[in-house]
Amino acid sequence: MISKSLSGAVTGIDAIIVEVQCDVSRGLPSFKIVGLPEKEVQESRDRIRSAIDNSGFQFPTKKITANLAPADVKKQGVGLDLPIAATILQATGSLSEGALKNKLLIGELSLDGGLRSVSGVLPVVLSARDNPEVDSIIVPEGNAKEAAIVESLDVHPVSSLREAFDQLEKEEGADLATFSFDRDKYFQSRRDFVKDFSDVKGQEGAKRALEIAAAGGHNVLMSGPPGSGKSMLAKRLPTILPPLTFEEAIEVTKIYSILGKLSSDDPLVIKRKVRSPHHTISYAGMVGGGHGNPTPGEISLAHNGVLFLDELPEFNRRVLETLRQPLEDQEITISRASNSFRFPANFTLVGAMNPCPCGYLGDPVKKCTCRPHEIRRYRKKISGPFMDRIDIFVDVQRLEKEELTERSEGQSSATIRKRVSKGRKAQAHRFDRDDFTNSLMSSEQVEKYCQLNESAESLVKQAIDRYGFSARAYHKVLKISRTIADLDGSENISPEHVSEAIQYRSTRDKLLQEEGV
Amino acid sequence: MTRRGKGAEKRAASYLESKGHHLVERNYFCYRGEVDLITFDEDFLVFVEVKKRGKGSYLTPEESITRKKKERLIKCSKRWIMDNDYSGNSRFDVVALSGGEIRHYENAIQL
Repeated sequence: MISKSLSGAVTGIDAIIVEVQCDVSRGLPSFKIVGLPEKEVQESRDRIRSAIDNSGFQFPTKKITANLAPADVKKQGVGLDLPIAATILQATGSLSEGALKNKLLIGELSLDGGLRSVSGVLPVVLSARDNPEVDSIIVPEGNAKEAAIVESLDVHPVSSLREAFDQLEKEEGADLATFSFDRDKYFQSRRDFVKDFSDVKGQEGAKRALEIAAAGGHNVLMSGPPGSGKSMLAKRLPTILPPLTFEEAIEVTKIYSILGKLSSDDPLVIKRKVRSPHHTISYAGMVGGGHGNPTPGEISLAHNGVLFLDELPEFNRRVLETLRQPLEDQEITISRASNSFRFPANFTLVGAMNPCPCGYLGDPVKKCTCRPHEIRRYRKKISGPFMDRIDIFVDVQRLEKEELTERSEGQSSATIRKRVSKGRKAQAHRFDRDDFTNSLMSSEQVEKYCQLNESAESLVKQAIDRYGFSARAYHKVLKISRTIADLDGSENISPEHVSEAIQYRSTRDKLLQEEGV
Repeated sequence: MTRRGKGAEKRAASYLESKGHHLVERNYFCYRGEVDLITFDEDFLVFVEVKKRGKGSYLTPEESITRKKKERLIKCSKRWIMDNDYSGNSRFDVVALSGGEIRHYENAIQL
């Protein structure tokens, strides 16, 4: 007899709805799974056999063939255990006909028949929502909240194969135990950060630079001696970014769901994330990849958040170069012979580096012990094209002792965030889009929206002469001035805005050029 | 076939018959291998592998069924099914004899 049920499998960032078909026929006893199952799906056979036997059923002594349709897409993930087991039970007559209709099942079986939570439930549920055949979904208890984020489906959490069986056997019309939780309340409730900008003493210049970066989506590079507060500042950048909208939160949560980084209590990523990968990271770890279906990397985990690269020159050069495309397109495309996968990667890059290998070049007290060629080599590790994608350069100097011992608190994140939100609103109004920032403007848009008055114009001209700005550098300066004007609530770009912008750009030369060596 | 092996098969056969199996064939040979016993148990055709280990053996009889042995058993059973045009349910059992004990494993081998 043939039985069918629905489940889902993750490919790339989305999930496909999989129809699990099962045929139990006479013949030598065997159990086969076809339809391009990956290793973990192949291994499910042994889990299913034990789980069925240990749940009070008998595993049939027959020839069993399970097919995962569409059969030409690789199936990954242990979530297919439960639907395969259920179709076997139906094909052998234990489960009544029609019990699996319009239901989507997902869950990993343990040998004793218990159900374990799985990764990638959210993408499956999102695909199921758009599929007319699915109207309710059976998930492991640990995934219940995650599944209930999507509201249009009934979620039935179960803890074992036996419980799933009992749920499925309930007569039509009888109330299944449905799970629900108030997602809007949850979404509003957990937005407060532990860290705050007022934790960082002094460094007003760097704080201002990060405020501009937050408002305009600009990438930042901070340079300074060890212990000057670069990491502290970067880790606090999300606290001044405008809060995630629900749609953005879903996008981020999908990525965390696929990688199994959600806990059962926190089904939704509500706060913007800071990812700070170590400099030994491989390029697959950074942009995503891997065998079979590629999985998202750090830049996608930093989607709608901040990617903080501490000790930037220590990163493998090839890893840094792979960041160039995502920095340009806000997404990464990973191509395989069979398919290409697109992962979102809209992040703000914050880099931190020391001015020289020992860290103390330019320090008023400690003496730099590096040789000129060492400094040159250190700085050359970051390529020009990569540097071109960074808008704001800040020199973070060591704190003076007065600043260090000062008791008064700096501005809180909430105050800064208010200003940033105002700046973002001005941009949303200008571009008629919520997710577009000044840093993403094309050159036509720069010409259109960044018009300068005469005195500002002459200031830029002076700067071009003095610092030898390229066309790209010129446009970057205009974009930053636009953001500064937006923060100021000003329609026009004034000379003050431009001069501040030029300063962030000219610091680049100070940080990178070999003079001073 | 050794004398001891024959004795073991006889004991296994009478044991299975006492459990309600109907003996179909003993020592079915084909060029790929052999099946010790073929019986009917209710609606199952059963291919039985009999294994005996004497006292003081290092391995238990169950342990001494290798993958190769399993493959031979399966190939040979397919041959029997083809030759006899059988189309019902079937399974593989193992009967292990060690010392005075008989242990019977139903559905012990799957493809």
